[in-house]
Amino acid sequence: MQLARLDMPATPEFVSLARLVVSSIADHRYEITEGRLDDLKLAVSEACVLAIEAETGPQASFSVTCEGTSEDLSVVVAHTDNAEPEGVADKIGVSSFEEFRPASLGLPLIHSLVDEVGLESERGLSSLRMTLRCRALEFS
Amino acid sequence: MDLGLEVIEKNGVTVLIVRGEVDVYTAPRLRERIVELAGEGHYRIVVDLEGVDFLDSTGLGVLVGGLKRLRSHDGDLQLVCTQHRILKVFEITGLTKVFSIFDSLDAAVSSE
Repeated sequence: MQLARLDMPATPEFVSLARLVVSSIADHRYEITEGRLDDLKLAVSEACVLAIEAETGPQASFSVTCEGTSEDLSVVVAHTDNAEPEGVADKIGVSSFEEFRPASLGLPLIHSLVDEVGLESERGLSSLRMTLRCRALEFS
Repeated sequence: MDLGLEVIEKNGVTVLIVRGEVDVYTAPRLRERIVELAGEGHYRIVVDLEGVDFLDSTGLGVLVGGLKRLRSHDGDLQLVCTQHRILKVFEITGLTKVFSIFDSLDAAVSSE
């Protein structure tokens, strides 16, 4: 069931709005701890950054969709297919700052923060689905 | 929430107090401030993150960039942070091994 959908220009100032909307939905509709809520906000932010980095041009946009069931909450961040998020390095953890590349951290961070991550590409649209296992407060 | 940046001197050490959210939108302002301070000859900076509500990988990138810049001048960028939500990002990424992270401003400024 779709709970909310945001369509936004692919520019950095809208990322905080995406975090706010997703965290508000999660907080009000699901049994979720403050720590898990923080994890979700960070995962959403990282996904939005990946979408923004993949998009170029004045008309570039991305969407954030919240979908829920009684047992989980999914957030889908989608953008037109200009880049391959699968190409992001899957290694995480650095031992010195020489190794650090912030652009490579987005997807591994997301994997560490949510219960399930899915990458899909279909009809020119790439999407990243992040799912948290959590019980809905009430679901209709 | 917007980003707040304040610079103070404490016991001769430059302290950059950060408040609010550090993300892809606000991180460039933090980077500019660190670059400005380094340009003014402040090569040892303590960044106080106690007032930060949110930090993502873009913010981490700025702090790592600042650390590289200051260490190239034999300086350092140290952090003050006790918030679990912020520390967790450093722990997940392994950056707790890279930064000196203190639990109080006094401890940071009095360290060698």
